[in-house]
Amino acid sequence: MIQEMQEIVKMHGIKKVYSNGVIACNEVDFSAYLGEIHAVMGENGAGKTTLMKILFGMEKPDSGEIYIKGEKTVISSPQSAIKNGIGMVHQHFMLVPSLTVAENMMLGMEPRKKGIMVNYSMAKKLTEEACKKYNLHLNPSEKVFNLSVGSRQKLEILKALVRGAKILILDEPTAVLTPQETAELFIELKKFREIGITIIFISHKIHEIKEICDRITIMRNGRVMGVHNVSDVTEQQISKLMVGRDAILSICKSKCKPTEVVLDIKDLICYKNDGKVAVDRISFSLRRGEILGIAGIEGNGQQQLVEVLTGLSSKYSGNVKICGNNIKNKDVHKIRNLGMSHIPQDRMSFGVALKASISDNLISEIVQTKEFNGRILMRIKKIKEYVNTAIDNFKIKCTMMKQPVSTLSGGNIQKVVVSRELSLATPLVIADQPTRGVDVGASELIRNKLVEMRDNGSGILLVSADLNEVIELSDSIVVMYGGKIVAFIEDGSYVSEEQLGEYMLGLASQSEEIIRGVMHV
Amino acid sequence: MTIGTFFTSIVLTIDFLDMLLRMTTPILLAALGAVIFDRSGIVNIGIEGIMLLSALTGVLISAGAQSWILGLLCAVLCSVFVSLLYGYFVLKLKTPLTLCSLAINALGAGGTIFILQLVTGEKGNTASLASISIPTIVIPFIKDIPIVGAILSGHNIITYLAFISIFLVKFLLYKTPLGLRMRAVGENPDAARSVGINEHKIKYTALILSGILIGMSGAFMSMGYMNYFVRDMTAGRGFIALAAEITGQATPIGTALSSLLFGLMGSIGTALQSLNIPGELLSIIPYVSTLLALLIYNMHKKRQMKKVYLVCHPKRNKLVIK
Amino acid sequence: MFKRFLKIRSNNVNIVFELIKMLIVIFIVVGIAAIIVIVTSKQPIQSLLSFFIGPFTTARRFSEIFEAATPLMFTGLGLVVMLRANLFNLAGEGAFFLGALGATIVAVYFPMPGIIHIIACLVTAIVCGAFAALIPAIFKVKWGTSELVTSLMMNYILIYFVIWVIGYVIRDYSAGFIASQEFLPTAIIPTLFSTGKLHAGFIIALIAAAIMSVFIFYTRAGYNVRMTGENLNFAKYSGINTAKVILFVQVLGCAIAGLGGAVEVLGRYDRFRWGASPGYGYTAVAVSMLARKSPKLIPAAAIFYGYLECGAEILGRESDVTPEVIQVIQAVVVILIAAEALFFNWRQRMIVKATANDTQVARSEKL
Repeated sequence: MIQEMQEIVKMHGIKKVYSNGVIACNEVDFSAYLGEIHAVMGENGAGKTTLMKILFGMEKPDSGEIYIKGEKTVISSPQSAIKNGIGMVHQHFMLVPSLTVAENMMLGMEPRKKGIMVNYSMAKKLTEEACKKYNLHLNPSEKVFNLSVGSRQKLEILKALVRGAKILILDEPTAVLTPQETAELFIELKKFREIGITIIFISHKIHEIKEICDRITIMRNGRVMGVHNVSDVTEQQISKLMVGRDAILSICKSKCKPTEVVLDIKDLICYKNDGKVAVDRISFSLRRGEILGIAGIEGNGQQQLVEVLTGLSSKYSGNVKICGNNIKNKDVHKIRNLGMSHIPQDRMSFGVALKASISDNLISEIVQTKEFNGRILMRIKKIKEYVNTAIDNFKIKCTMMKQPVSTLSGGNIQKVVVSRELSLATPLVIADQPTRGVDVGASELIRNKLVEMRDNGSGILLVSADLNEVIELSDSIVVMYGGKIVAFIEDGSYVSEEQLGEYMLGLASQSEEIIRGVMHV
Repeated sequence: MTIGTFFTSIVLTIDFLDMLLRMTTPILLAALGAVIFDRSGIVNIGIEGIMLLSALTGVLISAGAQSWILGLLCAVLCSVFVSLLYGYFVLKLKTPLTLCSLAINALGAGGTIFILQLVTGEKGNTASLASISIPTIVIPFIKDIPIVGAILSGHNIITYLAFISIFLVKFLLYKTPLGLRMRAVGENPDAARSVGINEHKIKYTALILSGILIGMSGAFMSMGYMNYFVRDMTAGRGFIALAAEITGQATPIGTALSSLLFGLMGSIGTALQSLNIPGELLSIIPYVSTLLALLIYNMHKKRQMKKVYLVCHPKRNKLVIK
Repeated sequence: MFKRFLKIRSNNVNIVFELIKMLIVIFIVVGIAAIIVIVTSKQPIQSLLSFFIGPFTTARRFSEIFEAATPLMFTGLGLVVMLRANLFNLAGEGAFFLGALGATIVAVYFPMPGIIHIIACLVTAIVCGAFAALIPAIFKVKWGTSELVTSLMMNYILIYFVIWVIGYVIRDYSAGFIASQEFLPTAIIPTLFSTGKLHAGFIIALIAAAIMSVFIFYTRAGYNVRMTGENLNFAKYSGINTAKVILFVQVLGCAIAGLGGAVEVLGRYDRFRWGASPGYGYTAVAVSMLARKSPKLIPAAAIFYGYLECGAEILGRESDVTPEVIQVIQAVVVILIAAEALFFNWRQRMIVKATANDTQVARSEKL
């Protein structure tokens, strides 16, 4: 089907290793033909975003070459990428809300009037011409903060095209669009193909890719698993290439012995900041003594779910009970007092106080209790004991407890967070990406500690994008896709990666009967 | 004297208007400078210190070279230099800006006192120096128009420049490419960077331009408002200017109105002295009115803020705990 | 080698280490002061001696070091407490002055037996100081307005108010200058020694510093203050009522400054005789930065400052250099600290960047 199409982009032998040892891209080859819509697919951590960031000059590869139209090119910055005809539309739009469409379009290349003034009428005209040329309709005088998300995306695309992009990289473009807007976008993309613009489409939505793309490059763990014509490969085959484990983690754990329900969720609907539904009416329950893993590609509602459960967001409807108590209208701390501890996804913003000492970070919860406080002063000796125990227990590598947390390595900082939370020994533990960005040794320790917590009677809700971790650590698994629960696997050790992959990618879903099995109430 | 006569015989006079304009000028200039750097995303709370430094520089050079033009020029250069230094510390060295601002204010307050002493041997002021002040302008034909002539003509050059600056800043921000880029950098630096705008270059430019205005403000203090430098002569005007910019919503016209308001408060305070109210109490007026203005502004803003924030910054999904 | 040196340094954060950093700054400051003196004096050796050795030459002068240090200990302490919560509230300047006024009024017009009189004066001053903090604190908590701007406005208001009161309301017209009436003898804080005027206020200051140290480091409330200053979100997440902390800390800090005003006026003088604010609230900025925001180091920093002021005064009297050099030194200290914040945090920032990189890597792979 693809005859001798001109290869417009070629990336060869791209390798990128981050400072903590994670190999984002491992000898990756990528190429795209002129005028095609080429999908780059992969899970989180697969390397696709890094690869495209390298193409757009936002990251520098450790080794490898890039060829544009057959000529070797060095892309050192987004500016040089733009000069080479590459444009990128990011997930988070780079627009200035209080400026108009035309102003955003022309930013950095404003048409001049008499040399020192901006020629606004010319800007408007140029914007209208661009709209007509690329068939994307926008009102040049409209201020961006009044635009719908779909329109903003159109503006981003236009911005790239107007600066001469012949290769357009779209990073998860449909993540923020309504179905109608998605349909509109696809029509536009097809038209771009006709005028010779190449589109690189980063996504994980198999259905969409099947609908609009010509070829796919599938990545997993920094490697290319395959490059195929979309028409030659089934969804199942794609899923199998995308989702899988190269090595099996082994975690020693005995069979779980769950007891009473500690987290009870009924008909939960969670909303994003802009009002859109992120979690679409789910129900499940978690019992003491078990680890329930939530598998799923990020962006399917997990974040909003965790925010609601931990009290960071109150945009929801439905019933959530922790240890039998409803969390409605309760702030973060009251919810924690109901018996919840939380290992947050983003430890830097509120997981730790970087400049404070390890000791201060570890005691943030217990310091408020009577047990560690005398009439006026804190019980220093008792606190020191507590801190030392925690440091030993979690093998936090430090010289002294008074040193600031910022001097620790990433893994050790996470250990501080985990240690603090798990030492509370609450009935419910919500672990959100507990080993993300953490080295192997610390990850192992953290996982073992979670199992220990489970054996001591806590119920653990594990949200993780690391498939290995979810499969090996969880007793039961729930798969989320599109804000819904599409599968419930009672015994995690009996599920195959292929099956799990299909659920995660929305290719299959279980019957309601089976899913209801996760309600132990 | 009743309130009535107070108004007719003191306030509604040309002299009062003169005083009003003289009071407003330094605040207006510094506040317009604040508009520029605030819009560009690099706030400088050290205005007070910079004003003092420029004020002293202006006087000293003017006395030494016997030229007010040179004095004004050096005052502006001094201000630009310190502003750029501030920018370097904040942008390149990433020192927290409150700390840098405190340093500049300390430098201004302490440095001017020391240099003042060093150069003149006087402890309080430079009155002993024969410094040339910035002249006032009398506009040939306009001055002869009854009433209007007296209002429009006979003010200090810097005062005229200050009011012209309102429109210059407006022009800069809304009509020039630089202004557009400044507003972009101030509102969403990522967006600006994505189209190749050098964020730091814009911010340094903002500091230079605001430095010019603040330098003029400082020079006016010691070479126009008064004819010599007195220690601590700015008396908080730098901060009042900042408050004017805040309550003026960082727009040139709004800021001008706020500055005028604060100038008015100062003038009324001075005028009230003729009513035998002690000077110290009257001196409080500008500062109280600043606090009041901030109060009213904040109460008004809180209602508006929530609505605008979510719409304007959909990307800001940073978790903030209530 | 330097990197390893830095590593050791940034790992070690106990008080001894902070003291070392402070000594380094002191060393640099002394060096710069020396340079200024040498450059501007026609008799450099003589001037240097006056400045640096002068304060030690007589018992009287030596005692002056501590007399000068006393007010700075109070304002510095107050500011340090507020800085711990990351609040740049400079109302200590106005609080000090208002506190002095409050104490003056009680000292002159409300006779009471001995020690009770002094205590009443001090308590009044504390209340006055607390009052000075209200507006900046409320503005900050309710609307997030910069406490720097509001506190500075407050200072002007309070200082002019006090000057008016002294000049017009409670003025003693029989004195040859603008001042209040004399304090009743029961209100005066006694001196400690026969030479010099070092008064018990110095001891009170030391006690205050000790109490604040214990408060900041050994109580739960102090912990809350520190965490609020280190990371507001983290503090909120831990259940700390940060609004309450922000309000409380400013009131406390300014109350201490107010106390300082009372101690100074009742200990050093026989009546309120300032025509303008002595500026201890602003000097406190340099002092508290020198003390590295630690209440434990405030006495040392204040004493060093007192030494500099003493030396500068002697310099002014005995040589041709202006004593205003002290003002420049103040500025230099603040600038040094601002620059130092960059050097010693540089390594920490590198580490933070690396850690952020870890989470960034994972996040950049996120969809």
